Amino acid sequence: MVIDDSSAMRLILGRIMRGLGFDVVEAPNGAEAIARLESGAMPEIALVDWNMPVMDGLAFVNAVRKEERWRQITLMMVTTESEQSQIVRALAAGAHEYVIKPFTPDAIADKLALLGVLAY
Amino acid sequence: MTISSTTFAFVSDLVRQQAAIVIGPGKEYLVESRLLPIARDAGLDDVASLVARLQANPDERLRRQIVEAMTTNETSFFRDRDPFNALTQGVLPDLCRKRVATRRINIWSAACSSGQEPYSIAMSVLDHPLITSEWQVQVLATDINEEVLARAEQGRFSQLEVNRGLPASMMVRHFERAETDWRVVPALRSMVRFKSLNLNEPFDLPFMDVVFLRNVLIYFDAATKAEVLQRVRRIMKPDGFLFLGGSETTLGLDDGFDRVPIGTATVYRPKGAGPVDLPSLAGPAVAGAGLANLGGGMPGARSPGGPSAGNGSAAAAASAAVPRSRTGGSPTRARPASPAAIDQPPAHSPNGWPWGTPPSSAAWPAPQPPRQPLN
Amino acid sequence: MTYIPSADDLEVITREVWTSFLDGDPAGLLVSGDDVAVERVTGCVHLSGAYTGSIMLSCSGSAARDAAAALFSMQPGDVTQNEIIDAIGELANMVGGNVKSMLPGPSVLSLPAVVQGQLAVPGAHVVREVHLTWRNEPLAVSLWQQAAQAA
Repeated sequence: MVIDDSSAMRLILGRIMRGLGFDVVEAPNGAEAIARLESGAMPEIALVDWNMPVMDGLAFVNAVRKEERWRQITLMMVTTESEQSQIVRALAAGAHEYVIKPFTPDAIADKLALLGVLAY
Repeated sequence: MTISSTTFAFVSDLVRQQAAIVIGPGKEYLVESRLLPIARDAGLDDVASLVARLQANPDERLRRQIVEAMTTNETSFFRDRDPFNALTQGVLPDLCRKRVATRRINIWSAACSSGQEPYSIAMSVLDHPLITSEWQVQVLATDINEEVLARAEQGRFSQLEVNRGLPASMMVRHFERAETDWRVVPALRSMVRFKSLNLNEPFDLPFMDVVFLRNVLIYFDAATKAEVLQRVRRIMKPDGFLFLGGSETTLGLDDGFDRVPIGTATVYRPKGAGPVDLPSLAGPAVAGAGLANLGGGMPGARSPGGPSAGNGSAAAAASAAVPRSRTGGSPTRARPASPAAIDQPPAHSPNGWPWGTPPSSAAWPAPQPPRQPLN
Repeated sequence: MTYIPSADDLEVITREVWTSFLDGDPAGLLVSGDDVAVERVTGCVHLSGAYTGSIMLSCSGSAARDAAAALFSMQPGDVTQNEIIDAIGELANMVGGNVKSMLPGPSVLSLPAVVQGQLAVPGAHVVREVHLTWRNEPLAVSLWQQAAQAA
């Protein structure tokens, strides 16, 4: 699942993830992403922007980590928030990984490999 | 859509022919991500079309572009992952047992380039629960290029560089912001000593327990490779460990080494070194951020005479607050670590395990046979 | 004395964003001597907190179109206003977020806004500015600071 309020970013991340063998579901903010999960979507991994309207990425991470049924979902933040303290906050909230924007496709692939979620 | 095996085979054959570099299985994503921009620039939709075009019309420029894109020096942290998993799970525990008398481990990163490799090694050491403050572990980082050496000594990396291969939990503990860059914290910096060295000339170094000689032999001809390997072997402890690059081997170059698999990695040991004692593969998983955070707070200082590991409030807060994520040397598929040996993970770890099992798999995967080194 | 990002810092950040998403060639973004800020399209993010101010990214309409085309992998001729707004907004978000991390914190980054023309924020003034050229079109990145409140 790619969660970002920028459609350009959803396109770019979607393309990278499809190239790596994933099917991709998109959401423009945390609230819509939760709605997708509520209606049965069970992504292996969610790439989550931080600053989004309605529900931001940190709130989304908090919401997902509270739910036993969503235990399986790997959460990787992909955001321009790049202060050390912000990264710590995100990891403490339960994000598994963190990519700072701007990023290259290799960087995303590297992190997915680290997380063990790559298709190969 | 992932690239097909025929497309991948074409690209890896081409690269092997043109650059004598092997792109092994598992690197399909690299081919996709490196060549897609070239395909786009050529007005094509995907990598398969790019390959088709090259097959239809031998185009020297395009061929060179492709080879260059695939062989650009990938500078990333924990490059290829497996050797660092082997270091953490096999090599360091073995040395911790064998070097109990001296409590000293010497590690050499023999073509350290911009520094990602020695700092990755040092981070693995700093985070290792078996290496407590009584141990003296030194990482020697050498390179022939004084300019990159100077850069490596700074320990400064751009945002784009720290995005590569470095688990976020390690980044927040071992690095701090420095203007637009990220810089290694003093505790990490003090573990690494930098020195200029030409592998092609005789060198005089202390005996090494572990040597990383990765992706540098490819630049030498066979005779030089053999000489370098022999020189390296002479300064290795008889029960030491040598890591080569993914597609490299000592076979046919130096028969003084045995090839020893550790998990999915291959390590070379001087002949007669004996087996590697690997109880840690069934014992506590040691890689990564999590175990180091047990009991809260930073682990004790690792480096000789180094500052205590309180690297400032941000890092200390990070270690206390960060859940045991699945990153930080997270192993690949063969991962038989026994769940019972791992301490209770914090409630919000995925699947209850700090690392190893991707959340989607229900049970530990069966151990895989060691991957054959690529020749 | 708190550290305020230099013009060089703004350039480095912009360059990283550009080379990651818009240009394979790091040399594609040049520093220009031009003092003339061309503000046909401006993307803006606001900061509030320990630092209160804004980061703006301004470029010509045709550069905005080219940037959107690159981000969306479209032909420039097919780009609509929606893509331009999204693209310039996200570029401003990325530049702004990275600039924020160099400023005194903590501050909150707003969602981006994109305007045709020049944007001014009442009570704020430019503290840093860098002028660049991309594909022969001018591009300016500026950091604004809100005037200090009266005690």
